[in-house]
Amino acid sequence: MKAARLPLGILAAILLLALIGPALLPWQYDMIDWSTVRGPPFAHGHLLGTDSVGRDLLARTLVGTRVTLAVAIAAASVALVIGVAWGAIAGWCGGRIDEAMMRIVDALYALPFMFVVILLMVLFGRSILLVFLGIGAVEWLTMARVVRAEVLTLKARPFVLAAEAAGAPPEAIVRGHILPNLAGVAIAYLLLTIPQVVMVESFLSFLGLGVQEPLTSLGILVKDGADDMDITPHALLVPGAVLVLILVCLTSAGERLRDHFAR
Amino acid sequence: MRALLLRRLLTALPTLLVVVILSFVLMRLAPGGPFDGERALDPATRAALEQAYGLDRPLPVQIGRYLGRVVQGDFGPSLVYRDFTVTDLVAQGLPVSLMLGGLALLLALAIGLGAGLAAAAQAGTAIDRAVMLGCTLLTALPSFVTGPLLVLVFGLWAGWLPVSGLGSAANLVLPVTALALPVAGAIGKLARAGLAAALWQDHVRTARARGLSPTTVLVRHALRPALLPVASYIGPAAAGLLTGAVVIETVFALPGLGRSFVQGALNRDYPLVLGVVTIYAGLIVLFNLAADLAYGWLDPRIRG
Repeated sequence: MKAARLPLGILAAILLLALIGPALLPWQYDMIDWSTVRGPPFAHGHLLGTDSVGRDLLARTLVGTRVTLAVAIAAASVALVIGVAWGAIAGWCGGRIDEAMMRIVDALYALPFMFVVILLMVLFGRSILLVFLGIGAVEWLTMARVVRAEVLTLKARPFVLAAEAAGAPPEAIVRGHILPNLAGVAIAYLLLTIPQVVMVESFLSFLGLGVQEPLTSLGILVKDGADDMDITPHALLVPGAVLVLILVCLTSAGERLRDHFAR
Repeated sequence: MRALLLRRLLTALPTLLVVVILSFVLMRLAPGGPFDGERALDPATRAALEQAYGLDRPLPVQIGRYLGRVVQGDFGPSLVYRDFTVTDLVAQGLPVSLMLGGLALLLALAIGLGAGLAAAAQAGTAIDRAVMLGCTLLTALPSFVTGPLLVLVFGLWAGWLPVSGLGSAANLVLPVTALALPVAGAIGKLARAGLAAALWQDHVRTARARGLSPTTVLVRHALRPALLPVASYIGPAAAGLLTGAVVIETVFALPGLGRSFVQGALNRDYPLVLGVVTIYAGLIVLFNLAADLAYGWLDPRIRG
């Protein structure tokens, strides 16, 4: 647990900045300052300059971080709920049900997910709700596998056997003994799912298929920065750096927690 | 080995079928149809059109017909690129994407295996930790960040390499690098872990006891079993490269399949998107089979 402190601390700082930062700035993320278009840092009180239509880049980066993290947490929660339910049912029931449920997971693993998500975006319009529902619905597979394996080992543990021998009904055992003991592993894999989702969301937004203007996300900011990088390179570097920092911190915190809970 | 391949093929084909059918049904469920224009068609014309394109048949019949045409390599006409069939667009874009992805896979294997070997040979030292930190960073760098970054540094600031289009071999250097780096990081991690485990196996200890040099032990005895996790990663790596290629082709303006896919997606060109998803699914299935073959070659015990 101790080892994950630094990345989790950095993440908390980023989250805090993204939540309260925009309120402290004189500029809104969608406010246009016609006097400064593609302004360099510190131009007219814009700490990070402005984008191609004169919007404050610091405000946009903070709001973009907020949107990216919000989508990621929402989508990862969808994946968490589906994955834990699927894995717990398969692991607890065992036998044929387990076999069939895990076969479905194996088959889904072989799907080209990014393309299925893009297909969903194309067919049902590009709404932010669909972005996270779609991503969440395809990112639960690893969680299901891990939770199933965990339930299988928990089922053989003495305290579960004791509860069974004492005549506790199955629902009570699952709720009282299995689910609480899944928490550690589930949290570790939740942390590892979030960067995956951040990656997918930024990827879609970069291509213009995810979050839509005037709302922004780190993917859109990287795309806008890439379009203007010959004039304002920092417009690419700043959101890119924030994105990479978030991904590195989430991955390393998740990996450390996973190793901590691994038996 | 043949039995293993046959079994894999038998599970791969249904997966492919599910992808195609799922995509097809989703497409039909989507609001809006091909004949919804600005002017409402009179019912008779609409019925005639729907009959001409077979849209009046029940859904299973339509799926069957579509599958029949796909098997013959016919994905239908593109809705946006008039005068082109989806098959034309695929035939134009696929070679570019395959070249890009193939070169990137080779580069990723070279960098990843090199990094893994270097780290495992120096296990526990600062070099090991630095190389592994580098690999973690590479896997966390999405290609849509590295692509523009490479353009900025090597194209715009240093002016060494061209940044878009497809004229000469120099045009490929930046896109192939941007595409390969995340995969290289993952391969490096896997190779390092595999080697570290292999170095404790009996046959490696025996080789060391026979007085062979550390390099010989590492390359001739430990490398082969250590490559197993790398081999099983080829399937996911191919999927990663195909997805990455979508972005890289857009960033570097390369006329590949990924770029037409994005254009198709932005323009709601259903047959194009459906066709490309089918092709990609087929490629991923192929790469998973290749990974199985590599696995059997590396570890004779599972040839069966």
